[in-house]
Amino acid sequence: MIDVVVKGPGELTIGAVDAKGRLLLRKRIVVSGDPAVETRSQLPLTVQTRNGAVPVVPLLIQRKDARQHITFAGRDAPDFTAERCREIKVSTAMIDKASRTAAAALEHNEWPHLLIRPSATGGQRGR
Amino acid sequence: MATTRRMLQLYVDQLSDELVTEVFPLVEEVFIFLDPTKKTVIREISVEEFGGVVASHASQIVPIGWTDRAAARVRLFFSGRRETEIFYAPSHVESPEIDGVVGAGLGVLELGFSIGSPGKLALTRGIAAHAYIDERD
Repeated sequence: MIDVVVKGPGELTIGAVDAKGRLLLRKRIVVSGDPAVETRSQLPLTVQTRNGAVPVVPLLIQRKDARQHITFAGRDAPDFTAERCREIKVSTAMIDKASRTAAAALEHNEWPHLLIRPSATGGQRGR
Repeated sequence: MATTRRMLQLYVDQLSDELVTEVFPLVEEVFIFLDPTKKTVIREISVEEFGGVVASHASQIVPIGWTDRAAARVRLFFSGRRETEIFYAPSHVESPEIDGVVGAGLGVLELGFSIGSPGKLALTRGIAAHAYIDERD
């Protein structure tokens, strides 16, 4: 896990994308009240899926207030994302596309919704 | 008696792709600095949660005594002292006046999960919390 630090109030969305451009985790944080507020959160570098541990790229998807300053593991968020892309050999273009897709989805669904895709064969898996 | 009223409000939601078998805990905290020459009073701490985690292909899992609400707390920090004072939500009554507070942190916590094969987890959940803090002369 890495520490995410946000200075200042406002709304932002962060996430974790795998090498195929899938957004495996999305987190939206809204802070209001005192103007000098500082927020601490976390994002993973690896996510467990049915196919095992998948390395992911933490990224900043959306920031509503440009005055908010966001760091991942003590570094500017875009710098950390770019370095993580190099580290696990993921194209930044794919990450950018995943970020844009996630940001567009946020415009249409302000509130999160539960996604369950029933699988015809899923119930037999592992038997 | 002059009073400065401060508010901390935090909303966080978490959404996972259905492919995952691991849901990370929600551990978020917001901080502000306070004036240690004033007396600090926690007036209110509140937390609400919606949504949750659904497991599929995971037979014979039965929750017993499962909580239905996230935890929230306010930590008060002091200069020259490692220990913090902690107040837990829900609290709608003023705390005693506390001297020497240099900062306050409103934190929320929800558990993480992981599930073995062939289970899958679907997740969407959110937590909203707030704290009202007074600084009094």
